[in-house]
Amino acid sequence: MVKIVLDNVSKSFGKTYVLKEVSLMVNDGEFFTILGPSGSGKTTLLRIIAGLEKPDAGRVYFDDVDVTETPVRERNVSMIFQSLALYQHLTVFENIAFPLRIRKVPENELKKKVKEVAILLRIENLLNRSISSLSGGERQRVAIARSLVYMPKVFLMDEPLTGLEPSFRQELRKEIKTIQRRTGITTVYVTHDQYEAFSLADRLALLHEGVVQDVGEPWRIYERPNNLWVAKFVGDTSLNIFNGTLKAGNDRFFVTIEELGLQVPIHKTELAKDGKVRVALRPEAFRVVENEAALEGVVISREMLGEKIVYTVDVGGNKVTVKTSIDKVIQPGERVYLDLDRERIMLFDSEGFKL
Amino acid sequence: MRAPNILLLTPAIIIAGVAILYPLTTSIYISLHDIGPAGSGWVFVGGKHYVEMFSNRFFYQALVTSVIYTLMSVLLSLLLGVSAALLLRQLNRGRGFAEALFVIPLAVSPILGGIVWSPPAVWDDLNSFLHYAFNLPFIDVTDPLTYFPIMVLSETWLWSPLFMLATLVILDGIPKDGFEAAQVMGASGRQILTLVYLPAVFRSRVTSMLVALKSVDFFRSFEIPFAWSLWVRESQLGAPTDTLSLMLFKMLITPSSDSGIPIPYISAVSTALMAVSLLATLPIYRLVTRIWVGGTR
Repeated sequence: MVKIVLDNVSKSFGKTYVLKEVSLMVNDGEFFTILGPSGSGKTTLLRIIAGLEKPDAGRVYFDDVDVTETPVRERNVSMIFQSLALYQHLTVFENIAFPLRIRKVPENELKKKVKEVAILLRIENLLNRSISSLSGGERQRVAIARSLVYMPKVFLMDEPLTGLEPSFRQELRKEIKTIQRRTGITTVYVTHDQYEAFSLADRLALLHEGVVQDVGEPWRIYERPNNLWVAKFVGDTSLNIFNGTLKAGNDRFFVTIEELGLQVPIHKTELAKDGKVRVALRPEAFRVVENEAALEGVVISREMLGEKIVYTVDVGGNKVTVKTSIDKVIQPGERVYLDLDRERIMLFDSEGFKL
Repeated sequence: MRAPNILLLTPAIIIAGVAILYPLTTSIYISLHDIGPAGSGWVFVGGKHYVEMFSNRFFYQALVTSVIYTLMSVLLSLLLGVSAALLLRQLNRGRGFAEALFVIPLAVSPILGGIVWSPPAVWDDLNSFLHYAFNLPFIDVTDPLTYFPIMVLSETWLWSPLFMLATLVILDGIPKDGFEAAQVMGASGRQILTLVYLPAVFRSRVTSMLVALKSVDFFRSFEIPFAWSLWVRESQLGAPTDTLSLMLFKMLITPSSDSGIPIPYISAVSTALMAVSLLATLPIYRLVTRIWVGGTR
């Protein structure tokens, strides 16, 4: 198992920049996800780690060994492609045995290893089947088995769960995570699906237009994103963004949220200084309360999200998105009072960077 | 709805009936008869001509020749076609042009296959050149052990482009991911060829079908053996050039002195040839599929 370091990696195809000076470190044994919209360069980044693409500039290290020039077949990595890339002309057994055959593993040992990994993935009864006779979830397991059987140093996955039913995805997500924990193989997982990224990752990186926007643990990225783009990209409901003014008090700062006419004390941060700011509030930062509170509004519409409800509330002519649990259902047109969780206020400067 | 459907098909059924069934039944009918004394028409003789066929040494000789000719032609066409496809895929530029060039033989008349590689076209000049430039002995192209392989090669020249095209289609159909996945798993170029590309080609049903169809086609081969029987002056029955088709042709143009053209006998042989061709396709296809696809269900 290795630590992966990307140092100032850039890549362009023709005149299009795909990656711009990307520097990242994936720790030994870590489950690292790369999250970004399509076209953000995440697959290219994965292919550079695999060795399928060469960076135009920058270096790639596995445990301090520069592998930038190392051919793909000598890197001892495994990769699960979005298409899974299983061989239709081979049986399940032969697909899993493929990397072992390449390594000329003796037949006895080969059979033993294939069987072990098949049991791990609960596909031991499928070994004689053809690929075309398998369901999507079974193919998925075969692909995982094939990439595990030779114990690679690095496990790379490019949106492997795309196209599966949601219930299956959840089950396989859990399994992938369990297997990664058990084997301890350093894993880089690329996805555009934030649920997947957040639920799997020890740490994750957000990529947008070839630039790393944020790297960190899931909760930190959700609660304290590096910039406004990240704040907007993560989360399932639209972010409330207001204009604000920051003013220093004696031992703390006060932020005035202009649209809501609300002044809130916040903890002093080193970056904060007097002036205009952008205030971002997640819908769940608001709470609907019984008694009179600082914010008062009228429910315009509501949207059920299973265990949560999202309300759009008109507060003094400004729309506020509020997410609450469903214990109390409010009808559109009803008057509500809203409370704001001060701990969850996110402040950004006019450029969109975190304060 | 049903009646109009059948009405629409009727012309096709009638044409097919006239064009296929009529010659077929006539051929079978004649093979079971003899020409009677003048004015008496056809006389039924049962399986006489079939018995005659199975006791005729020319028939057995032509049968063996056809089988060997078929096996050699189909294997060589496959081998050369697949090799050409693999080489063409290495080209980064000009693949389209090279493909077009390779495919030209498919467009020529099969008889040309017997002319392009004939002694007057190639071997006479080549022999002179090799002899006078390098003092090498003349290659005797009238020796059956020499000209039979040349006949097979001519057949291969004509048909390997078809195998090449099929192979290209199969290889182009393998997603790039499959190739890259093999690389990531540590496969060398040679391993990718032997573990990914070749199995994909040989286990494809397209290949099996082509092998089955061309086997039947080579079995009935006529043009090239005919051309070579002229080059090496083997006009008599029972020559090493004689495939079943060529044997039938020779019987047709060289009537025996006593009974003229043995039409009923020729009909019996061609009926047998047709039956073998029709019945062999499926078993060959199955056999090829089973050999190559092996244990996969």
